[in-house]
Amino acid sequence: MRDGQYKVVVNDEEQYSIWFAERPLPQGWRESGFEGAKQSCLDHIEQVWTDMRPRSLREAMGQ
Amino acid sequence: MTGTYVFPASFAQERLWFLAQLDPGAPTYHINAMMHLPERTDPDRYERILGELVQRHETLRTGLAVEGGNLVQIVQVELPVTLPTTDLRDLPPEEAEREFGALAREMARLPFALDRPPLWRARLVRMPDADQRLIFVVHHAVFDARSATNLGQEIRELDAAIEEGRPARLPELPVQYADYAAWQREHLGQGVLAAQLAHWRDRLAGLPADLGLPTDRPRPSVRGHAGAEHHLELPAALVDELEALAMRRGATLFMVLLAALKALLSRYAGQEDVAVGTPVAGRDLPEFEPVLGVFINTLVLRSDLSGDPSFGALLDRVRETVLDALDHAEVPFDRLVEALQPVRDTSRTPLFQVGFNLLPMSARGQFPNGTAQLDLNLDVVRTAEGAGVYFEYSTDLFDAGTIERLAGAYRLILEAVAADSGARLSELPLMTPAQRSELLAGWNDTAAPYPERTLHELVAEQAARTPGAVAVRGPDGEELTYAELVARTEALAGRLVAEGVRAESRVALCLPRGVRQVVALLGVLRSGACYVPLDAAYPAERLAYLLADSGAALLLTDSAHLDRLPAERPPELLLDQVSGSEGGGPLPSVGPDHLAYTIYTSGSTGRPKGVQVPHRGVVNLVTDVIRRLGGGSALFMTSLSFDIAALEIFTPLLSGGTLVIAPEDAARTPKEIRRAAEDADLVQLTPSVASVAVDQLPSGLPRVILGGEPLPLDLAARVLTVTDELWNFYGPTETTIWSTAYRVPDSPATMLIGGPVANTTAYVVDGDLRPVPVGVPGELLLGGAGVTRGYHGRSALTAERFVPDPFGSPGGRLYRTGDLARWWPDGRLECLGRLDDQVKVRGVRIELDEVAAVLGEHPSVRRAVIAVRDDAPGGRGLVAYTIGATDERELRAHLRARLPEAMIPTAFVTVTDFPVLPSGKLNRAALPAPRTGDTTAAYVPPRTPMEEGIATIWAELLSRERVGMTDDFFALGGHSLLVVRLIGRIDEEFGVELPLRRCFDATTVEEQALAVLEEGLTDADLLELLEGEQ
Repeated sequence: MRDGQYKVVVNDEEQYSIWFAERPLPQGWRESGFEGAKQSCLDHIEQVWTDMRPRSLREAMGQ
Repeated sequence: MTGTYVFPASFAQERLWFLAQLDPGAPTYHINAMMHLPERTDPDRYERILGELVQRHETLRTGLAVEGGNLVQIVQVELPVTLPTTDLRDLPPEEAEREFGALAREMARLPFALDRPPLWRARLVRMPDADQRLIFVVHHAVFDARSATNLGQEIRELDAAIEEGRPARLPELPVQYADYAAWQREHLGQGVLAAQLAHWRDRLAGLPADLGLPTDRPRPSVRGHAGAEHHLELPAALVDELEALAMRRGATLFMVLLAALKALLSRYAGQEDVAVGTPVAGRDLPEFEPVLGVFINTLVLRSDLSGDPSFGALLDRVRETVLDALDHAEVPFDRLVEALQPVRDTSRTPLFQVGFNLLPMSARGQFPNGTAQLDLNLDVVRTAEGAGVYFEYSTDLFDAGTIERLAGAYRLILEAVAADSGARLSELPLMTPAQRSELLAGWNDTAAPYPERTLHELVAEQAARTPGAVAVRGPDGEELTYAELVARTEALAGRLVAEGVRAESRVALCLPRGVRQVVALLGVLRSGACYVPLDAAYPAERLAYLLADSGAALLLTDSAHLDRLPAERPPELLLDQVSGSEGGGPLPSVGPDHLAYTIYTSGSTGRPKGVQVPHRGVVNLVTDVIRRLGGGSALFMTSLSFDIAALEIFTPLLSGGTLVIAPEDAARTPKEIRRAAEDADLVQLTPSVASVAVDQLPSGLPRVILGGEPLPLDLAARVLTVTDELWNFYGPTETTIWSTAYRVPDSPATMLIGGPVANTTAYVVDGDLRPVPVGVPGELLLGGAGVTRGYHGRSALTAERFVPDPFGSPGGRLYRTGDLARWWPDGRLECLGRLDDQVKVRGVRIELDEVAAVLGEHPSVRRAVIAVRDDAPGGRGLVAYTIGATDERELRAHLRARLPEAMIPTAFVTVTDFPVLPSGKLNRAALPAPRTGDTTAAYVPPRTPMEEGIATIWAELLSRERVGMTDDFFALGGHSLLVVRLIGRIDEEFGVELPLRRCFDATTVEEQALAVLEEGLTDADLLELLEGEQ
């Protein structure tokens, strides 16, 4: 993936990733609201995605 | 020979004569045409007409010869003309057509001797239904496309004049071709050449030596001329729209078609600097118009496609490129080559490999004669029905299907830009919806059932079915039944829980391979935690890092290993001091999405990162391997710190077989492998280990899996002597052990990695994550059940490598492997190495494994590895490592005879052994640095009288004071005609006539001296030498 504008995106399992800002989102992903250069998106994810367990697993484990 | 005139040759003739010498007898530069002619009552009419044309045009009486080191045209004053006739009228039409095709092709391929005029031949063929055809084949050295049009018109006019009983109205011929040749030399001599050359030097500076169009087969070291043709029809409506687009942007149809071709090439090659060659008529004065002869010149049209321009913007750039080139169109192409690319590369055409031409006629007379002048050439003919595009391609490089797909993509691009010229380069379609769907869905249709369980649950279920069967056999012969295994597992798990281990805890395992290690691993899983394998062979620093980074709650090891472990470590449990049955509290219940293990992998940069692997992916893969290959016993030999070990452990344990444990150092003592492997149905090895172990493997192994590294063809062949079922598996840790599987056939031409395993998807994409067509290299992305959670404690890195899946199930993620791969037309994948390792030398993409394979064919090389190093002589370049001491010059010569120049390593290093990582993979980082000291630039004096003699001749021809043994003729300024003089001088001096071809293979003084010696040897000399030896 080249450098350029990206969006921070998240899926139903609350897993984070990045996607091209100007392109439609793949199905099952939504925008988290953060947009910027690739590295700033990744830096943002480092801040907000602190528990990497998928949401369904987290819930099953009762937390 | 009486009655001849001699004139200087034109530049184009020099080039064509030279190409003919390089590839003697090849019909590559024959022009052929077919004309339908009306039946006439006078039987010899067309012979008379031809005779008249031969009288009228000197070119039809011209040959080429070298006189005094210069190429000259020899024109015969008179040349008798006969027109042979073949009568096929009595044959059924289909058979006549077949017969005609064979005859035309044969005529088209028959060589011309350039020094013996005429350089054309003709034949009249009478077909059924009053169809009379003239086949005319002529060498390009005296003819071009415009000449063909002229000749056709004159034949028809002469015929019509006879028919109407009037004098023929032919255009006046104020000059002949020889006048043009003289004019050209004078005209270019007046500073025009120098000025235009300076322009081109600037325009083409830094031009990549290769366009980078992906080929189906490796490029031969010497270009072949075999070719074929593919035809594409463009409908009138489309061509009209493209013409309208051209008008709107102040461009021409030629420019639109060329811009679309460049877009296509750029996308296929993944390159933004795209040069395409095109012919120009070269008839710069009106009096040249009616003359027959070769006026044509070739221009290099280079455009910058960077910045993802819209097609309209690209068209503007191409328009500038074309106009600029036409302003500097007079430099003979060969002069350009000499000025810009003096060192010859016999494997590819200079400056450009793809040609494009919009022919100024409505029908293309040329019929295919089985040759290709370039890698790929497009001739476009504007017809009443639209346009015909003829793709002529080298069959050494491309399959018919590949060119058909490329042609299809060209049409898709043209349709897309006709509809919307604002579309960006990256958005232009290369595939039809059907092709796209086959790639994205068809070849990824891998759904298959697997149990919604954890690994330890499945082992327990197996134990319930076969409690008394042997589950594990240790290297010392110790055995556990399934029932015993589960009992010990539960007991240990209880102890772990008592120690505070919970679901999702990490437990480090540092134990030698053995029964205890397997029990420990299963105990960790049963306690709900995941294991983090530590290889005691790793340096203490790395072990400390793994323990700290993983946040391991507990360390399972034994007393013997304790002193190798860092002082800073989690609490340990010494398994040699734990008694058998220490129950604990209730065991937690975990599911398939809990982690089974966290394994650390090293990237090319940064610190090792822990890949978090849930049970699901392992269960899915093991289920698929049992389904496809069968279960049973398996040899456990791979270090646990390499994720593929899990397949060796769980394939037997999930199918009721026995896990046969090899001794700890088996990978390094091949004899141990033999004993252990005798009991196994399945053996899994890395190619590095297999290459040393294969001779020790017992024959008749039921199944062998190789993977983790590229599998060389020769190694596959050797492994196939001990097993009938060999699989080449591919997959990164991040998508759980293996993601693709290839059953290796008996003698494959290329090693593939096959298609995705069950519940797995594979996509090959470009830098924008858009799928690329079959045959085009791109990054391999993997999705499905094997996709792991990510990197422990590294959410940013995880987000970067695991991206949203735009093709498959909603919300899914794809792992970007960083590996370069491409699809084959049958839905299997070929892996082309690491994306980061992409080596380009002078723009040529290098396949490291290909170079290693060829080097390995040398009889004194046992194994070869090629690495890209920054410390290679002269900067980043290829370094060859070989086992087996061999003369570097010999290896160089071996490679040169088989590979293009750009693929020859700059340094050769002999090693006694290749460094191997604990995982069994080659440790590239531990390969020694090549010796420094650049030997190529320095002057090396000639050593023998023969070398001295050749160096003296060179110095004289190249006007140099001295020439060294290792100097390159072309690098010092040698060019085509100088080679001719060189051959003459060598003949005078040594009485040996070197074939021209050899002067291009042997380009240094040293090599040429050797060539002279070899060429000069007669059978008698050889015999004498041989007798002398005895």
